[in-house]
Amino acid sequence: MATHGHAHGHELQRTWELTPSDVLGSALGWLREVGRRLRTPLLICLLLFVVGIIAIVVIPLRQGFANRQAWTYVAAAFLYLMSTAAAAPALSTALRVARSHWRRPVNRAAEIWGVTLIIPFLLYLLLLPTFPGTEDRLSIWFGWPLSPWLWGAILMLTLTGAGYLFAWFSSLPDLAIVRDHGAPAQRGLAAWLSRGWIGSHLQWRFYEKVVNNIGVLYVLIYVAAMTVLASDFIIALIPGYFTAVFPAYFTITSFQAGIALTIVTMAVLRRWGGQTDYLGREQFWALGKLLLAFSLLWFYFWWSEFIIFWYGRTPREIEILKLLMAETYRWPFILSFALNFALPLLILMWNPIRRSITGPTVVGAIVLVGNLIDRIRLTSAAFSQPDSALLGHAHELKTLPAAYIPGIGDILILVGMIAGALALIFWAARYLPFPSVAEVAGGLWLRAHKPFKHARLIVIGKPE
Amino acid sequence: MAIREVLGLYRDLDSAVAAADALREAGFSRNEFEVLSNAPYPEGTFGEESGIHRLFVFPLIGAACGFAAGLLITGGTQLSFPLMTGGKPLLSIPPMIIIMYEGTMLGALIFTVLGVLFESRLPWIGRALYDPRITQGYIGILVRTAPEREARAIEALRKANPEDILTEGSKAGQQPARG
Repeated sequence: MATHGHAHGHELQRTWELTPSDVLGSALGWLREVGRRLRTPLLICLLLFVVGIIAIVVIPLRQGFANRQAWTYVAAAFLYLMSTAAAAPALSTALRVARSHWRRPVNRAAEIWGVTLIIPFLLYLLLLPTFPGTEDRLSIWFGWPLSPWLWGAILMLTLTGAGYLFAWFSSLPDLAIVRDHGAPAQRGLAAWLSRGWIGSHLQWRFYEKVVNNIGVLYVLIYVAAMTVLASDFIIALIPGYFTAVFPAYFTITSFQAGIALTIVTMAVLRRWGGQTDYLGREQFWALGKLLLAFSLLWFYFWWSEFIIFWYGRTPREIEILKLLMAETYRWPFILSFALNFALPLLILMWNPIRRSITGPTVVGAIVLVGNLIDRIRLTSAAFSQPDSALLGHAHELKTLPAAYIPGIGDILILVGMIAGALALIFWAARYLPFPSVAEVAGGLWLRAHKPFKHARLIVIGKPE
Repeated sequence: MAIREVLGLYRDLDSAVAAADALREAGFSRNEFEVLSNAPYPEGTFGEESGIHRLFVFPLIGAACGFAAGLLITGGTQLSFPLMTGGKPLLSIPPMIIIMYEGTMLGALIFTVLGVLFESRLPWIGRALYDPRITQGYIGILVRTAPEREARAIEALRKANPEDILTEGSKAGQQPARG
């Protein structure tokens, strides 16, 4: 049973009435079961990933780096993973910094996505040679030597490193549990990763501060990386697309997708991962509110950009609107608008839906699809321009390109790379127990349900 | 001076707090014992004072170093190869900002990691008496003291009904598994 009792008309979640040994029991149960449960999904995802790699070798790599359009769906897969998997740890940081207790069972579901960062990083390295140098074209780099290749790669490397550090350090206490009580196959890597962790008071004192510090650094690097990616992958590849709002739109909508991914992950864990005691209405409701807010921000940033082009009405601006919204990619845009803004708003505006588990989960899934369509739309539009259309500091889109229709190979690449990220998650779940014992058990001292006359109240402790 | 370690294992929080109190009453200072657990307890649970840490200094120093490196790379390049472009100033700030920001973040990140390793003494390379039951929910009180005070420490730990007391010679005491 996930919830019982009532406070202020809301059901009280059972998590906070469990004992530390209950939490530890759940985590050890996860470690015992996870290998058997995830074997088939892991194998399927690995197979799809291998097919995706073969598709990359056979299609874009064979055509060479000069034909940028052939790399469209590699770029779409990269940007989609950056907008979802890479955004989830940033959400976790925001929740940690806010110091709420309801977030404790949520953090692992968001932070585990940090282990997938190697895939977008490798895709980025593959995509770099498709870009021309920036000396003779408009870009954020102003023709800086070795841009965008070297400096973009450093930024992505820093982000990837920060993501892995964040995932590692936030899991350190739980890795020590795997080290001491996991199956022999699980112990080796866990022992190596948690070497020296004895759970001393000194180590615990630093744990929270360090996880917060690395998390905040991750967010700072993530925002910078997404700004540069928005510029390098979209703005600089579409002549005449002069916009200061787009990087903000790109980053904010990525946060929205990161929230959606976390909600869907929680729903999967609740349905198939035995986490009903830990991931209840409280968590879905809280994240549903955030998702609604970010869906409104999707509209705000899109509108802020659109209105400038709409009112400007110069030939340059009209061509951009035609390419991205009105003609070439009209249907992807309409779908993106509906799935990222209209439907989330229309569904989550109702209190009973927002306060449920199903409502935010359905909207989370809708946003994940909407974000994918949005990234495909933008990448397809940007990667359809040959180098000749960009060089000479081109200020205008000369000809409106035809819409890029994906082939079977493109779909295999996209599915394969997403499956690769999922395979990494399934593999990491063998070492990272759900729930996180350190987070949930550590929160049990700070939150309790107490009777008060006829009511039951949530009593929250603030140690500082 | 040789240091001996004694580890008392307690099933519940009350016994562990009683053990910490007993150690203090027996004349052991807070620096001589450490609490080991599988989850964090609120600061002060075992009567400890909140110490001062210098963790925040590391990212600040790293950020300053990274910023300086970014400034040197960008400013140095432009001054070493002075090419006027489009009538813009030689030291063009907007493109410099990106690389200086990258340098700042990279420096802050690297120094934070170093700070973490230094301040939290990770990876622990010294000896530490440990028992896997700690990650099973037991609370350990680890005393590090002079050999002549070892018996006194054991006596104090016994007062709080420990599940087990381990000394360096005992078989059950284990180091945390190494990679």
